Amino acid sequence: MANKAARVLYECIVKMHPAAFRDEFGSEMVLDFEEGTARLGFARLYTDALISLGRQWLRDAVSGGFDRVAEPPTLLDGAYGMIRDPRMTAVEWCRGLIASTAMIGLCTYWLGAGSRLPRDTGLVYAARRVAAAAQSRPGESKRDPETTLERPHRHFDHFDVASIRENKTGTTHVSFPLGMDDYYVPTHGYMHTVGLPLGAYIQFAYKMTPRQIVALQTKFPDWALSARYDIEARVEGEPTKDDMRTMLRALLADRFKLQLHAVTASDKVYDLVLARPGKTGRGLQEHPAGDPDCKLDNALDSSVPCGTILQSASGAGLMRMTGRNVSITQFVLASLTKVDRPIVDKTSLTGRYDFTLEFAPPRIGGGPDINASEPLPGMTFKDAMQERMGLKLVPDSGPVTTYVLDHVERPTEN
Amino acid sequence: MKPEITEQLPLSPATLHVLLALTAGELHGYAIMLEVTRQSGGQYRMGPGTLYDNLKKLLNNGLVEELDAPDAGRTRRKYRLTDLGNAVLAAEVERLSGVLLEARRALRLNERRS
Repeated sequence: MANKAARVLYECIVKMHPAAFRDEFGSEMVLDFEEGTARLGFARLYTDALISLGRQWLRDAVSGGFDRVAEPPTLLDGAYGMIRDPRMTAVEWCRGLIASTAMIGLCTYWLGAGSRLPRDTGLVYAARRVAAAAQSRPGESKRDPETTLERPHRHFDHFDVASIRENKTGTTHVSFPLGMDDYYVPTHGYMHTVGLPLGAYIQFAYKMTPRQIVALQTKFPDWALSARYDIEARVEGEPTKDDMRTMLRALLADRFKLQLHAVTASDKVYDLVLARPGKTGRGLQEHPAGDPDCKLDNALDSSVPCGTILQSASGAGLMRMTGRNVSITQFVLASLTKVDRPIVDKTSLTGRYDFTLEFAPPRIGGGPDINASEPLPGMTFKDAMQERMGLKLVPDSGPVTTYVLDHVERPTEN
Repeated sequence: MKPEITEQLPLSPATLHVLLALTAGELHGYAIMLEVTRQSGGQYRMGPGTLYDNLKKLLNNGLVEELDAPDAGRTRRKYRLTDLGNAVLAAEVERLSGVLLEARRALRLNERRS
């Protein structure tokens, strides 16, 4: 009921936007509102919509209206056209002013309710929570960064409520990153994924590498390869990313009757070693001791959250991988999609590091080191890693874990 | 650099984030918001109003294009980067790299002086 009322209120704000903007983006805004409430909160969404409202009307007033038709009128225009007066009347100005002021006052009250923290505490708190989640280690106490009170430990072994529905729209999105690493944006126990295949859920739940899930999928029945599912689940509290994995495993076992087991056998791997014994490259800097929150300036891209590795396009067709205060294990996980074999860390490097690496994107079908039929825009991942970080990949054989599918069936009804 | 690229610079932070998010592929509005959050490490959470305000500008300037209108089987409108959008994004990243380089150099000089 509260959600319905909230949506109606948001729709009212959207309807107050200039007609051209509202017609083009209004329905999308309402859909985004529905999906974003758990992540962003009502107050932030209303504030955002009100700022948008003011900005659109201001722009409309300055430019003299969105809807001026440049083309000469046609017969169809005459028959079916809409007439809009691009100029706002005094009554419309007053109506918009009163409504905006009331809404802003209401949102300001909500933002301040229950807290006497500074205005942008939400952002700071979110950033601290992300950093705290990225920095958390097994065995460390779970401490709320805002209150500094010890949180009571809760064992998250299953969701409180969950629904699984087959998706036939082709739309996809996730409410938090599903990668193998520890990067996570806390969602207050809410998981909402849309349009993902069963393989993607299994890969996240069991923390599988791309090679492991591809091998497992060869044993999938046809429906499991083609069907897409939406999962909406919630649990009370603030589970970690690994807690989410545990709960999703339980959900998959319950609803898909999923059973699988791991097998370890000898196979081709790459050993990650130091190119020069005892020396790392100049691009792999040990993170300053006693600086777990990356407060010291290490002349590295400070937009990368402490304790994480970010990958992005760097221009000129290259990819950039930047890590701040990360372990070699994290680097190995981030590197798995760049090469064609599993990687075994044999560097004996146990510290935390900062680095930036630029390299040519791996080509589909084996990576840049294998099918280099045309010039690459830069160094391959392996070459860049050796030159910048002083690390190299040596072909070897070693124990490799694969997963075997024992049983899976279509999900039961909600 | 072509004038149609330089006249778009500098980009606002929100515009830069939207363009950067669309390098991940064809995305609908909510997916862009999630991608922006991911790329900024959770520090920048964009709302729908800000997003569509920026998308409107980007569509008008030809930096982003909308895929075909949604049909009965697809309910969300998806957007993708145009070639011009890619070029503008690359130019902005280069510009920011220059600014960062200069800022770091200035800060180091400042530290040495003090």
